[in-house]
Amino acid sequence: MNEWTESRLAVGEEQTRTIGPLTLRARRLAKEWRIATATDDNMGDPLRFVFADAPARLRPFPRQADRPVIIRPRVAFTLCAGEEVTLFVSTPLWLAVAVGELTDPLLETPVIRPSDTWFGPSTLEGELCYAGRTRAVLERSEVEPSPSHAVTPLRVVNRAATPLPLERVNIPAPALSIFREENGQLWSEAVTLLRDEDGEMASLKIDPGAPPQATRARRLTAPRKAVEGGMLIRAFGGLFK
Amino acid sequence: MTDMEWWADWMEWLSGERLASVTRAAVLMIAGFALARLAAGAVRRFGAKRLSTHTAQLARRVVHYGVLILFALSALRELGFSLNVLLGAAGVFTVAIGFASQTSASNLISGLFLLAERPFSVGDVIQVGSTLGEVLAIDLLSVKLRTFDNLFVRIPNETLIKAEITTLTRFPIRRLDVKLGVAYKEDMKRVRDLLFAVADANPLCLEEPKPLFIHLGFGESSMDLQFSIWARRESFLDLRNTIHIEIKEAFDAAGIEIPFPHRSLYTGEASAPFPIRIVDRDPPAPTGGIHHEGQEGERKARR
Repeated sequence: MNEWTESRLAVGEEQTRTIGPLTLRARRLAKEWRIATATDDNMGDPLRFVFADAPARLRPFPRQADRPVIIRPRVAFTLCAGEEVTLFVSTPLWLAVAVGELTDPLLETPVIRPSDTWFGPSTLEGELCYAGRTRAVLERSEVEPSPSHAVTPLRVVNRAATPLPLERVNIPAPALSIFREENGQLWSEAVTLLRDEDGEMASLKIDPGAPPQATRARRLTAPRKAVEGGMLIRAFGGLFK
Repeated sequence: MTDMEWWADWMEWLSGERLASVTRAAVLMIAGFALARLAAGAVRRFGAKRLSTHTAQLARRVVHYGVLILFALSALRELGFSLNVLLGAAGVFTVAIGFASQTSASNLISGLFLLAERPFSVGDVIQVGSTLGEVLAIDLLSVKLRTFDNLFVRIPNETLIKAEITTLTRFPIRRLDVKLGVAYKEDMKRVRDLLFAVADANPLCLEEPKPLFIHLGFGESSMDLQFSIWARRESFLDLRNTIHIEIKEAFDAAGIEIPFPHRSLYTGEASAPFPIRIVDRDPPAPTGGIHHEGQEGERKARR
């Protein structure tokens, strides 16, 4: 059984799972589910969810962040004009817990609470994001396996005439699904950011299905929100004036 | 006029054209009220999802009063009033009323300017003078606020036009300025690194825009600093509550002193130390010599 396998609990049975630094404890009673999470030893009071007849199935599943995630390369670099590069970035995940046939989770909590951040050219213009504490790397082998992060292969294509400093990159996490490889590694779809003109804007393309680096991965979770192909997003933080 | 005559006149009036026009006017007014309500209701339903609260409220009022005024004018026409005369009379009347009630007129015009300028909308949190609250309605004469201790405050529009208004909910992020002082013996670089580490560890503190560290100057008993950090508007209060505690804990753990005002008294280099005379209120005990020396010794040590 892995972190995300469904299980059936008998009445009165309790189950504890560990997902990275987060501990999930779920207990089924005849008419309620009691679910608690904690990132340290102090497990607080459980949340109680009452049913006429509590369903047996416990379904924990990972979800992408509810806001875009800003990632920095391990060492900032500049992508020359006309060049392209593939980075591997890890985005923090949320744990969602559903029971029975319910589609909406009973509770959702970040496995590691990422710091808030602002992504925009000024304090008036921009959007609220999360700051990913992980670093983007150039080689797949450098990706550290983690149950609390999903890896996104990010292709950055610079077709503009000017070089592109890669300091901070905006990953549209709410638009990505989660796939799971047999070894437990979580992935998202491969993402392409295409920069045609000077400036921080790029057109976003999400390749449907598991990424080419993990073709046998199975889809676990759908994206939070659908994004139409070719959407223009503010993607590169190194270019803010 | 006898009763019979009065009755005859009355019946004649009722059977004539006059009654028909009064009835039509009354029907028009009732229909106007009903239609205005219906139209305003339709605008409310339409605007609930598509418009902001502010615009929806404004549209509802315009539709409601617009329909009502149209029907009222039609009713007046039915009663035989000439609209031209009525409008002319209304002009004169408005001037007279304007002079008589300058404050209301001023509020009304200020209200129109407020609606056009839109320094805030319904639902925003604003501060006017010492009043801080959420805007419930922007009307022609006044703006209604709900303060956070749940009081209803009505501020005349004239006051708002003249006053400085701070809209707290205009932008999505806010800056919190933490002012603190550290003892002169401390290493400022270490203090700076520690403050940045505290901000970095607090998830409510935004990573960008980066925290700002400003040395305000050399104070009377401490080196004065300002540490400015950014937060989402919704988490501003949470950050304010947590970051002060975390800074104090981090300073305590690192042994960095936050001094309170010190006062050192000197009598000058050339002079001798303060002469101290010990006054004992209680009459000296017969064998109190030893006790007295002990106190003397203690005071000397303090010196």
